[in-house]
Amino acid sequence: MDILANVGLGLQTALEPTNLFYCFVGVALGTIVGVIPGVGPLAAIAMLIPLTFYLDPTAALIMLSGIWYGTTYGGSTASILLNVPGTTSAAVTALDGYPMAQQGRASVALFMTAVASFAGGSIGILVMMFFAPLIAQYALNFGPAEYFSLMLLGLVAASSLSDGPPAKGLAVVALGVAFGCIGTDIYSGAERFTFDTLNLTDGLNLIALAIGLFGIAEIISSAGRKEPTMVGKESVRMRAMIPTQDDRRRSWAPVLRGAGFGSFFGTLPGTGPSIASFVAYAFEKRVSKTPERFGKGAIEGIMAPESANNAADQTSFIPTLALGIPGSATMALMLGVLIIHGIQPGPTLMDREPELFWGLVMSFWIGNVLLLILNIPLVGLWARLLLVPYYILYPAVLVFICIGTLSVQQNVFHVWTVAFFGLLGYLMRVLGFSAAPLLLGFVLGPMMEEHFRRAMLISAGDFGLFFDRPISAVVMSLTGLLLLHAMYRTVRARMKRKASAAG
Amino acid sequence: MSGAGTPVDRFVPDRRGETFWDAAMNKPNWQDIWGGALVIAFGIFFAWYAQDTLSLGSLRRMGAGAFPFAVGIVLVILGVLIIIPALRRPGPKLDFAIRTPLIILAAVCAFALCVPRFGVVPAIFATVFVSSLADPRLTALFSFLVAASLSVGIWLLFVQGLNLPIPMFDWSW
Repeated sequence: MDILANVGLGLQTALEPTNLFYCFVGVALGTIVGVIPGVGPLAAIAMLIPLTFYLDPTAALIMLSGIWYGTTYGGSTASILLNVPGTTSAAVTALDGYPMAQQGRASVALFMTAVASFAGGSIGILVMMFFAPLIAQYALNFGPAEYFSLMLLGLVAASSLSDGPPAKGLAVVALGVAFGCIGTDIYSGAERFTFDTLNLTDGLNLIALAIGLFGIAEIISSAGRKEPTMVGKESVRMRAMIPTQDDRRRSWAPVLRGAGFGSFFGTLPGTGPSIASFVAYAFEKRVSKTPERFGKGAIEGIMAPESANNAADQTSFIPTLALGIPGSATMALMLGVLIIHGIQPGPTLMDREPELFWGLVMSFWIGNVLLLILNIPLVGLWARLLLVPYYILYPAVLVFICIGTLSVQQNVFHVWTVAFFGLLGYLMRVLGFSAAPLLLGFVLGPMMEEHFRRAMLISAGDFGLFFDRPISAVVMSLTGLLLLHAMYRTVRARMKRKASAAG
Repeated sequence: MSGAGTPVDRFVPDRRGETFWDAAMNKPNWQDIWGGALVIAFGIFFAWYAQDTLSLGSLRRMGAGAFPFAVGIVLVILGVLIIIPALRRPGPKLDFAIRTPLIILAAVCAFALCVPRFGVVPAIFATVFVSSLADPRLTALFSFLVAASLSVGIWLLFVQGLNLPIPMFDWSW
């Protein structure tokens, strides 16, 4: 069996002492980052990339992925104890998790969310193990037209499906693509938008951009704020964790359904763990015989979203690793890490770098087991982390941001880049633009341009190429439908407002 | 959303209570108008600069400027699409702080200014002290302790651990 050989190879890679160590470091850091509100996974991953330059690419990806799915485990802790989600994908968990904590059932909630996370994560990994190779196989005969169409679909979906007016999301993506144009043109060698400075000939630095946009903007909006109060401190004990018979009976179906939603939404561009957890929660509430219990500490209300967001965390790697097309800002960073290490992403990745791909996948299993161990007996420790006031943390985070950026190429220019994108990130927050699509546009933009120009060379300047090839044509029509849907949403929103304003 | 239902709120008309006239005339969505205007301005600059400094080429053989030019045009169109609905729609008030963002950005700039002149350790102190202005609970003594322990930690991690060729102190001038 082919898959068994791959699993064996992956396990062998993932169990190497260095990889095991970085997997542990990743999930532990992820849990900490997830627990503390005000430090998001994107900023944390961006901040730690400089440290992974010195590792081999497999260890680097294992650690950074560990942070990514580790935050999702940790994110529920703050949701339950503080009613402040540690990560956006854990926001729904607060709806029923916090009432549970108020009823003195915080320990049960923490225990059960860890179990749900593990179950969801496991199902997500299984889906990934079976579907990623299939998709990669299928994608082997994709040409530039298919890639351009798929990337366009990814960008349009990522921006128009986020909340708020679709035009704003699309504008942010286009802004990212514009920033991606800066640097030397790969075809002609022309210097684009470098303003005659050598610092820009290689383009803007991905890490500096991400750190500025997410890290600095987060510090700005969190520094100087009041500390939220924690409930259920005393009830976070191992002994109080055992769920009742009723809890267990109610939980398994929502976990399975949540994992289904999560696996599905994780693979789609632009949806990911946050939307998966919202959908899973809404679905549970709808199918429940007692929907009135939701929002008052219903166990289904924490199990479904926590299972969904962890499953989505895992399956979001499918398009990134199988096609080389990231569906979210975090995945764009992961792809950036691959490229920094000189690995060309795409459908041939699995054949060229089987140790990396299968090692990473198997490290997800190890990481999820480690997280289960870290989260259940040690949950009291993580809960205590919530008591560390933010005003002690943020100067340290700021220094770490600066020094990390400086270490990228020992170039102070990157620190100025951080300041610039910090300002831009704050401005975007004030004006109600979400910043994540910018990163996606920044990473995908140059790849899209390359494929577009190659396609134009093949077709001698004929746009028909994108519609002649069947896969590309289907993807292009999907993109068109998404844009139509976005327009419909805008118009409908205005009609509704008119109706409510008139009535 | 905040405090809905308190007695005071009943006298402050919320969005649903507005007449269409109010919504149309008095309260356009300034957030989106400013956002859209900035997007348009950036798009115009980007497209103009692309065609000014780079060759556009033809579709058959696209020049270095063609893709950026197109992106600039797309930005202008999207900016217009953001502004149009915003003109006739009430939106959230523009709500921004000046002090905290300035302090945090100044702290990053302080680091960038200090590193090439004085080295990493003075830069760490500068960043911590500037950023401590954002929270009154961070006293000078406390900031000093934070900066000192960060300096030791970063020396251990980056210089001893990763062999980063950055001087911790640089008084060479």
